[in-house]
Parts: sequence; C-alpha cells; structure tokens
Amino acid sequence: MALGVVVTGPDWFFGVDSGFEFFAFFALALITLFSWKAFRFTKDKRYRTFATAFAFMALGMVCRAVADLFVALNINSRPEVLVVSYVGYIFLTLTSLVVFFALMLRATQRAPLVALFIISLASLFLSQSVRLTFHTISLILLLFISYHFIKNYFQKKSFTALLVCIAFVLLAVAQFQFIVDVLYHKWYILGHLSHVVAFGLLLVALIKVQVVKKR
Amino acid sequence: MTERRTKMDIVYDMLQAIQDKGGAILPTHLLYKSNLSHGRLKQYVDELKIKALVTEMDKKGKTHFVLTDQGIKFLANYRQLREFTDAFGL
Repeated sequence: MALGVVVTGPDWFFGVDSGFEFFAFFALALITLFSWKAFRFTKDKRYRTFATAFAFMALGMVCRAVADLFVALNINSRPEVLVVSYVGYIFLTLTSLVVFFALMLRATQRAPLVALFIISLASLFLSQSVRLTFHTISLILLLFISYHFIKNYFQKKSFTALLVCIAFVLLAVAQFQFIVDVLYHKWYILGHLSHVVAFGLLLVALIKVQVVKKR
Repeated sequence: MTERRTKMDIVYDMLQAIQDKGGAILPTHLLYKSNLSHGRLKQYVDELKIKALVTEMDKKGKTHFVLTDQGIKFLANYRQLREFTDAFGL
C-alpha cells in the first residue's frame, strides 16, 4: 500500500480546492436531510438508503476538505491528521458509491455488494498507488451510476432529472480528470471544477424540488 | 401495464380529488375519482379522518368530505417528494 501521492495540483490552488469541498459538503448535507425527511414521511427504506449514501459522501468531502486545508496551510507537524483524513475520504466515498450502486441496481441481496466493497478495499490495499486505484474504481462505479440517471432522464424527461443526470456524469468526468492530473496540473483544477459544478447542479435540483411545494 | 398504486398514492389521489373540487367533495364523486370500491373508500376515509387530513361536513343537507389544512400540507409535501423521487429515479 502506497499512500504517497496526495498533492498533485498547483500551489495557488490549495485552499481553493478545500473551499470547493466544503461547498460540496453543504450541498450533500442538504440532500441527506431532505432524503431523511422523505424517509420519515413515507417510511420507505429506499429514502433511508439514499440518505445514507449521501451522508457518507458528505462526510467524505469533509475529510477531503480537511486534508486539503492541511496541505494549503502547510501544516507539517501533524502528518497523521492528513493521512487519516485522506484515508477517511477514500473509505467514505467508496462506501457511498457502493451504496448508490446497490440502490440503482435495486439489489435485494447484500452479499454481492459486500464482496464488491471488500474487493475494492483489497485493490486499494494492494495497490502501488492508492490514489490512482481509488479514482479508477470510483470512475467505474460512477459510470454505472450515471447510466442509471441517464436512463431515468429519458424516462421522466424532467428538468430536475436532467440536472441530476448531468451532475453524476460530471462526477464521473471528474474522476477521469483526477486520474490524469499527474500528467499536468490543469487536470487537477478541471477535476475540482467538474466536482463543484456537479454539486452545484445537485443543489439546484434540490431547490427546484422545494419550489414544487409552493404550487 | 400501469404500476399498482401504493397506499400513499391512493391517499394523494383522494386528497387531490377533493382539492380539485375546491376543497369539498361528495362521497359518490370521491368514489369514482379515487377509483376504489365502496368498502375500501370507507376504510381510507376513516383513516384520513383519524389523521385529520379530511373532515366531514354537511352542506345543503348533503355530506361532504372537506380537506383540512393538514391535508393541504400533506399534498404539498407529497408533490415535493414525487418530484424528488422522479429527479433521482428512486
């Protein structure tokens, strides 16, 4: 296991990325709360699972924001905080994506999903580059999840479904950009921009849902 | 083939039918608007009355089901939820 490559962007961008991640946390936390409210209203377990997936992603974003903030502030005295928050980000994000994947498949059996999660963790543990393996696994899972949202958009043809669909496609694109960012710094910035636009679109979709109430 | 309505869908259809009629509806109108048998309608109406989503009222000697404030709030929440469910394909 080699958890070496964390810093890949230009110096001036550190801190900005952390701000983006705190914004992502804010958007994800609001979606989590709404999903939880939906669960309380309907008692339907799908909403609880959905809230769980978004909660894991939101917590992962906080971990990543803390890690990037440590890099931005150049705090070298506590390297363990940087490592723990980065590992936390990877673990929570992967958990979130597997839960999303399960939800999209409408999976009733847990065993294959637990196996998928363990295989992903084993791949990370045995990998020469945890960062590259993590982004590759995330890209694969997000491609499947995005396919569900693309299909959903063509079925529902609603504006909010389109926003959600674009958001998840952008999240997949961001993973690709994070994979190639070792080649050139601009990909790191582009990856973060794709991320922030994606979470912004999810927030707009949530606001659109809230507006429906007033009709 | 159309999907089977959930309990929530049936409640929404009933409350929506009352709202479409200006907030008060005759039992016979609610019966055909909600597409339920007489027995099932009675069960649902009793439950809606217990939850204070509708009340019974006499208008010109005829019984009407009237939508309460809580019923209006339920409709708004349900619409919001349906939009959310459609957006995320749940």
